[in-house]
Amino acid sequence: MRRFTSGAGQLRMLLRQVMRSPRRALLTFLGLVVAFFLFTALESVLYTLEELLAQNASETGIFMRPRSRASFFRAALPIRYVEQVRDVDGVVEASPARFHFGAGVHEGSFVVVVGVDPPSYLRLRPLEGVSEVEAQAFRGDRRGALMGARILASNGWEVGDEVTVRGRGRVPDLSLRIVGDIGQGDRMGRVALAHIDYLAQVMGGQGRAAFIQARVAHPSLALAIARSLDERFANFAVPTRTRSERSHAAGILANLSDVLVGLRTIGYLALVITILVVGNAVAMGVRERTMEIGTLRALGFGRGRVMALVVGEAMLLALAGGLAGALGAYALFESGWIAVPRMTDLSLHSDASVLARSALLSLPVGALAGLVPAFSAVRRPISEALHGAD
Amino acid sequence: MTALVEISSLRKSYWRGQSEVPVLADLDLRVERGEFVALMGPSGSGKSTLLNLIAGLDQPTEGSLRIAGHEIGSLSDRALDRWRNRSIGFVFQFYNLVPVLSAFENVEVPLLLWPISREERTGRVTAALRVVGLADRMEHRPGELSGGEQQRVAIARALVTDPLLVLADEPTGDLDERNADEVLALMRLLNRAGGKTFVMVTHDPRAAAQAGRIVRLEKGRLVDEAA
Repeated sequence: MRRFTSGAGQLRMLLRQVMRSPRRALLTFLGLVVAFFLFTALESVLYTLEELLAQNASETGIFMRPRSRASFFRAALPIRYVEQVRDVDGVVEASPARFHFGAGVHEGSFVVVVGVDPPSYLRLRPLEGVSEVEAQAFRGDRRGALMGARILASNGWEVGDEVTVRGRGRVPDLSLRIVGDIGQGDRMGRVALAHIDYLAQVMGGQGRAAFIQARVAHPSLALAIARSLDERFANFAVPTRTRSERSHAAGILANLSDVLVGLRTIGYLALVITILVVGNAVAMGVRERTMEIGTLRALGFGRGRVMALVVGEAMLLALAGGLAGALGAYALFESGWIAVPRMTDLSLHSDASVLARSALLSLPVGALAGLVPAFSAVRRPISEALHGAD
Repeated sequence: MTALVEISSLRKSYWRGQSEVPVLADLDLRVERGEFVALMGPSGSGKSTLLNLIAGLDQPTEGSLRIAGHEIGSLSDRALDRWRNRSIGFVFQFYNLVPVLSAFENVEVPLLLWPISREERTGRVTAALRVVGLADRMEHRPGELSGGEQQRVAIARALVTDPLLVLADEPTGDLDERNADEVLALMRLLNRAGGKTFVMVTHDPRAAAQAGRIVRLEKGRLVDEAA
């Protein structure tokens, strides 16, 4: 209690010092808000990407693609591999898939159609929000498609409509009949599902898939089965690269690593600049208070205590600005107003862990910013400082 | 009376490049408890240096400087900080108050290092401000007070820890005649009625006349003492 009251007095003194020059404090605060807003926004983008990939990766799922990365989007994997995958002990189900990338009603309404084998796909990935009637209709209609609710909303399409997904470049248009919608909450709400053989008919490449998905009986089997499959197909015309869905997601993240590192670097650069801005503001305050600091030292405030006051001042400013900036970015991202350009159905969001990390980072930022001014505050002999010598 | 400050063969030099510049040379001085000593002398005579040495703000080059039996030169930085906080009160020419703190908070500053309760601290600060006649100006900031009032706040800050010794460096140097007289009268009262020991550096003979003893320095040497 006794120590607390003395500490409270020093905290009061520290607060008054922060507000000594309101304009300078405000400008520094705004600089901090902008920097931490930017940092939190970038961290939220990264969080969204990571979460998106993690959500779509099952622990028991495995993912097979051609070993040659260039073959992936050309749908080079023979569909007959599916039967051999199913024959492996421990594999519960396997299903082929390929892509059609196109646009909906508007040029900017990006539509990803995944061509699948409906019976095996629906066994592999039961879709929430798709009724049995819709699933039945999908299985029975070669041009039928299950459309993600977000695609329906952004294009103004409805179940029962005959629609055209316009191909891009040399990719032909795709005429589809919407037989059901994939619920808004489903992770597949952003894509459309169609028959793989219909896509092959329109796009060419009959009997070929871009990848094969499979489910194994237990997560512990995934790695061993993936290896055995690659060994089995090693001498086939199209060798494979099979991984668990989790490691596949990790691989996608790794492929994005340059982008992620770039984003992170920008975020951290913003913080480094902030350290300089806050450090400069605090250093100006310290220079103006040379005589006061000398007086405090004469009155018995040791070097450590004076340094703590100066560093505390920087940390207080940084915490206030950091918290405000991080909260602002968090609120904006959580509002769902920030959408990925050209993918209006994918909104970016944030998380309390991102907010907490950003806000807590303001403390070391403040401490680093305050260190140099703190050293300069106590470096001068007391007798010189008392005369305000700079 | 017993000696509070005992200085013997004190020497202080500064180095300017390769050459040594002596500031104080073979100085001997005793200040008894309850004394009011004025240090006078021309600029550069070493008065302020001597005051800084007594305050433990600077270290002697040679010689002994004992205060209440403690050899100041042998104390560590940490011990010196604590000793200054407990044993020395400072009054500066330009008051040296913290402008963003109220009179009360300024006086409270040295007590922030004391492990005492808020109530005790408040009691001590209020009493000190009452002694200097500023009980009704506690919430005012230095900018809202006259020069004389600011110096009285500084005196209250010097007294609040009940120090062994109050060191005043030109305490009336920035005050007009009326305020200077008030401040000097207050210091004399604290010395005579309160038994506080004062060592005051001054150029002003009128200020020095309030002291019980005047010590004159010239070129770093004691040249004259007058009661």
